[in-house]
Amino acid sequence: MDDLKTVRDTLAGERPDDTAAQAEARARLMELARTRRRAPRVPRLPRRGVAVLAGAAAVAVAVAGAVQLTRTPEARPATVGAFLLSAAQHTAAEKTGRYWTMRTTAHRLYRVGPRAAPYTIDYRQREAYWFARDARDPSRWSSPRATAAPVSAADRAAWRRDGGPARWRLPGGGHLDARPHAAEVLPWDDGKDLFAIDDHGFDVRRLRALPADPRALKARLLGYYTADSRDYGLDPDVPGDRTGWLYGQLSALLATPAPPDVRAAAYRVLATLPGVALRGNGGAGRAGTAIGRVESDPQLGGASVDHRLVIDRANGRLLADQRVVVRPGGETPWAAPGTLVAWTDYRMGWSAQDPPAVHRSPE
Amino acid sequence: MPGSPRSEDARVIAASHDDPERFAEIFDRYYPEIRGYVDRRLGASAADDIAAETFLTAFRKRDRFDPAAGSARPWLYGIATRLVSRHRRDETRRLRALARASARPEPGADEDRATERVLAAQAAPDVARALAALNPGQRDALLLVALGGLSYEDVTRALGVPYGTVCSRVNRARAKLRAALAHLETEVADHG
Repeated sequence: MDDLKTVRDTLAGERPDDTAAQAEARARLMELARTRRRAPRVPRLPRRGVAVLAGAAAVAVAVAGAVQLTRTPEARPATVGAFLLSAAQHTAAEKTGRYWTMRTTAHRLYRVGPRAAPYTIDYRQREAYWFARDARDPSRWSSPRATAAPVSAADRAAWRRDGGPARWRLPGGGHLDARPHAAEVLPWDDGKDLFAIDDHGFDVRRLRALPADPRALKARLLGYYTADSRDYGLDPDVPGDRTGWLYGQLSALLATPAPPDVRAAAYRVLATLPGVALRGNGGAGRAGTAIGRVESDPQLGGASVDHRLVIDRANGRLLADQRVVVRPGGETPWAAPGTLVAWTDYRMGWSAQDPPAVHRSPE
Repeated sequence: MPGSPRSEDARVIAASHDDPERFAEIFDRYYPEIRGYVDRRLGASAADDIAAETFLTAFRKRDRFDPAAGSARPWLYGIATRLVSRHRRDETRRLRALARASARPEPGADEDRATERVLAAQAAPDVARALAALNPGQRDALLLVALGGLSYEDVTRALGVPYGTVCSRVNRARAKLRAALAHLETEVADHG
């Protein structure tokens, strides 16, 4: 049975288009258009005042943090709390620049190919962002470029037998496309939706307005949590995993140009969450230490994953966000415990340089 | 591709900055399908209002339209979906009513088609119940795909959420939907 078709059949719609209603809607639009005919464009205002306030708060948090500083990148933290507080201190002390730059590579394993001879591919999407601290400077991003590669030698052999494709249909609908296409650098619409909680989008201004006090930040984020806002596949009637939800929002916040003191506060909130533990060192050749929290999904047959964050010991930056299978099931039933099924590698930091020029590929 | 609707939308919206009335072309091109989408989600009277509001909002925000996106379609579906989300209670109430409605299939001449129709009618209450139980993010993503025929890439543009989130929302929504329909599949297998 085609599940999408059953949806179309069930939601049949009440009545076809009504010409009177359409004519009225068009008239309202035209009336608005006429009033805008000669309206001047409103120039965007710089947000310097907000930046100064955020800087002052950053100093306050750095002073308030009374936990010892981890001096060398090699030092091994004793507890998850001490490690996160040291990450918070490094972050709060960071110097901002004109641009927050971020390069991300998001990996995800997919089981693809013929049903009789499936194989696993690592599907990667690379993106880059240049977010201006000052609204007068342009923000840019480079649109995703996807590549894919079979994971093991056996996967490679199966992929070859499948004809070595660069495009796959997914059993659950949709497709993956790793065919090469030209890189583009595009304007980022005033940096809106750098961070989103359900329908609430955060631009740079709203990110700056987030509290730098851990308790206030936690309260603010949880204020967005409603019975509707879970994306953990839980039944709406089952009380949700608020902690897992908050952990996810905080990890997303760490990959945004939120002010240093706000990201420092995010680490301090993480330090207070139950179930968060150290997962050892690692991080793709960089001096990273991982924390993790196991999340389970009763809706998907009790499958559980370890949601790990790899944090740079030297400067408190997020290096990677990873999902490791603990109990197989859910969307990756074929993956054995311990398999890294989805992960994003980050390189982020402040920069004084101009972003690259806008470059669109011809259609 | 000059002349294709894709590049045409971007051109018209760009022209509407200096000549606002040009935006009527976007209205004429997309009003019927946007209204149809909202009609399926909230019913006819809400659809008339929300479809009109969608184009007023789009016009006010036309500075925000990214010409690189080409087609205005995902953008308009995104605006309509945000407006629909203000009526979540109404949508849930509507779905619950559909879930309670009894399935009364009509007999048809063609046997295969009749079976299909019977199946669709039998499935409706379960589908409506499953849709009502989805969280809003999953429901929006699923209905953009199922009703709007948007690709996952388009849903990314429409909702402004990352590609991976769209995949996971749609996949989870479809998994729940299939779980809700599993017993029907079994019945068909038993009879067939």
